[in-house]
Amino acid sequence: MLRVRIALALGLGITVVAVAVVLSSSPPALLATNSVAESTGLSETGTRPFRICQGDERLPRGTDSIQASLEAYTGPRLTLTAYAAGRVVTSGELAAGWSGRAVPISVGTVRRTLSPVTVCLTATLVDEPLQVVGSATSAARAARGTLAQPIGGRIRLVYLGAGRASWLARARSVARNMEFGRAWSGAWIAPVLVLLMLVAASVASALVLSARE
Amino acid sequence: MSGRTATRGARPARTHTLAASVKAPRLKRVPRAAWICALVAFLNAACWSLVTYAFQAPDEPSHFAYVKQLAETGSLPTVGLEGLSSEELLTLDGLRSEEVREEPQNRAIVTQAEQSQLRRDLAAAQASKGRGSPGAGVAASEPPLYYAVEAIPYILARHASVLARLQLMRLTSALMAGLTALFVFMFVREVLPAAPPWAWTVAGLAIALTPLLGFMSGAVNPDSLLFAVSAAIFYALARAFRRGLDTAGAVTIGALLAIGFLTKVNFLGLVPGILVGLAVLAARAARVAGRSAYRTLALALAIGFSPGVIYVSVNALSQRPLFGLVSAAIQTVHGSPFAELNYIWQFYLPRLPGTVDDFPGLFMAQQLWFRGYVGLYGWFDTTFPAWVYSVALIPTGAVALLCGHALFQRRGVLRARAVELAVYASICVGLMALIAADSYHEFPALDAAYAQVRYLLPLLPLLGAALALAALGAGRRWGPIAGTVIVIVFLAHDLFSQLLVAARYYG
Repeated sequence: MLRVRIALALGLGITVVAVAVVLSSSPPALLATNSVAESTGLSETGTRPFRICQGDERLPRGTDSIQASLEAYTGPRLTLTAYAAGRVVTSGELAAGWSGRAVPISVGTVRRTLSPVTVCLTATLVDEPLQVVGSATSAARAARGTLAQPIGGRIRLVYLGAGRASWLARARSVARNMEFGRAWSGAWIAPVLVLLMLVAASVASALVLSARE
Repeated sequence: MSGRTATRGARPARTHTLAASVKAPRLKRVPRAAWICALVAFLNAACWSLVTYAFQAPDEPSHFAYVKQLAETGSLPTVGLEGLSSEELLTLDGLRSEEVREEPQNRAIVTQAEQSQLRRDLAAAQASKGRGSPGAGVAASEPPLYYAVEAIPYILARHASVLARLQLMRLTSALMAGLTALFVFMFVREVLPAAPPWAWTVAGLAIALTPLLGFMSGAVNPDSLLFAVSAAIFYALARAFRRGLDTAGAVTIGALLAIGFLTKVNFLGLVPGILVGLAVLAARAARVAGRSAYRTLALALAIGFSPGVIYVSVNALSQRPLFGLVSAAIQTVHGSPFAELNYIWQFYLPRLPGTVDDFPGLFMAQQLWFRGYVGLYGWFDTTFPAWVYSVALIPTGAVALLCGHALFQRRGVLRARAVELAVYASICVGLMALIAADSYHEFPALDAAYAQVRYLLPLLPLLGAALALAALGAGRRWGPIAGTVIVIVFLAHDLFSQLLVAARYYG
């Protein structure tokens, strides 16, 4: 019984510490976008391997994730590589199996702002066609497909990096944001949520202990 | 005369007392721990109902529309009609639903100006003319039972805003999470009767704290009722395997079959396994009770299939496809049977040598199923950082090893109960085959259209049993500690999942 108590206390303690660690970290922040609207589907990739490159991008300092507007139900493995003056400045991969229409791909952190940069997206094993989303532009400004042909427009790219304020510092604003978009708005939402979860955890813990008796 | 009246008046009272005295011990036979697990599951799903932004659970707008149609007009929505009611559309506009959905960088409304706009939209929505919602998108083809249950909170709050009705409906779904956890506890108690009670508690609590159960049952979705019905059927079957199939058990299983048919089309995947179970139970009972056992089986089937018979009859009279949506699915010829079998296999397992690779570059078990279980919320747009899915393999592997150890230790018992286990396995295979076969209809335009873990949650009782076995597999000395750790891991997983969702919408 004592060992169960110790295991429970230790487990809950580790969980609390883990929550504290997570809350003391900073959430990803939007550093910049390439100002391309998601107004149209530019092209469909088909089921062959593809490489799409888009020049004239500006890579902000601190970028550690780049979100490309590609849409798929079961997306393939994607590789993103950014080039400046012909050299690779950062790259990253996204495992196959993603879903949705805005794909964040983690990349190595960019140390300083770079421009112009060419961002290339590559997939070698494509089984389900992808929709490339962005805005139509002139052929000269458009992203280029596998055979360097323009794909009809530019893809929306979003550059993400670590934010400055921690989750803990933003707790009040998160709690305030939770008040909106509800039937009964008010400052009670976040406290009630925390209270409900605490009650659930306490009841579960009490049951774990009593079940051993 | 007065005497007769008095006697007449007394009889129902006596019947009521008898009924109460029969019911009360049955409810009292449910251990307190099972009720507490149900309470934890309800509280957890209630938290999820608050943390998930309105209409940002899979197909929630369509399911809401179905309830609206049923509650306001008493009729079912029309299959194939996509348009929602203007009341719901205005609310979705005010919530910026389309911008938030599948765009993880877009937050929920977070400014006073947006909230004011939402209030105006809600007021306009309430003032909008028109009753019901003839279109209910993907929900329209589902049977009506869950929606009929949800019509109760809807009608109670009919004068309140769409969001108030939605919240009450979500809380009603949360009650179903409580039932699911309760029946999982009862199922594990039946299948592991020799296990110490703490092992049943581990199963009940872990399932109660399963994030995906909380997420789905904290939203308006018939899956929440399907999970509860499925857990109840697993329990009823396990009870019958342990104590024999009596009339009460057969009626219960039959009634649950009927409820399942009326809840969600996916229930069809469970039916073959349940029928196999009933046949085995009847054959066993026949050794003792003779032919009357088959009458009991017939009773269960008659009750269970009565909604299906009515449905087919109505369709026949109205000259619609006999089995509705199912007819269309059966008639859709798509590739050879071997190709379909190959697809179904690869939907879950690595491809066999010499077969066509239907999912090149994808390891379905890990990249879709495991990742989907660990964390994929909202409209499949809310995920943990990639490393979390790798770390999650450690506790999963540990649980699998401990469970395997426990099964090995009990191999003698397993042999003795092989038929019962085969029945549970056939239920499992039936559901998995149905989901994969449905996905195959969309293939190759979509690789794995229905590779969503929520569709497998009707099998939660088996997960509960596996977790209890894992705790037992740690041995008499360490078992209770392993069980405690399992509950803590599920609690932590749940907590971090809710933080993830809160960060995604309100961060």
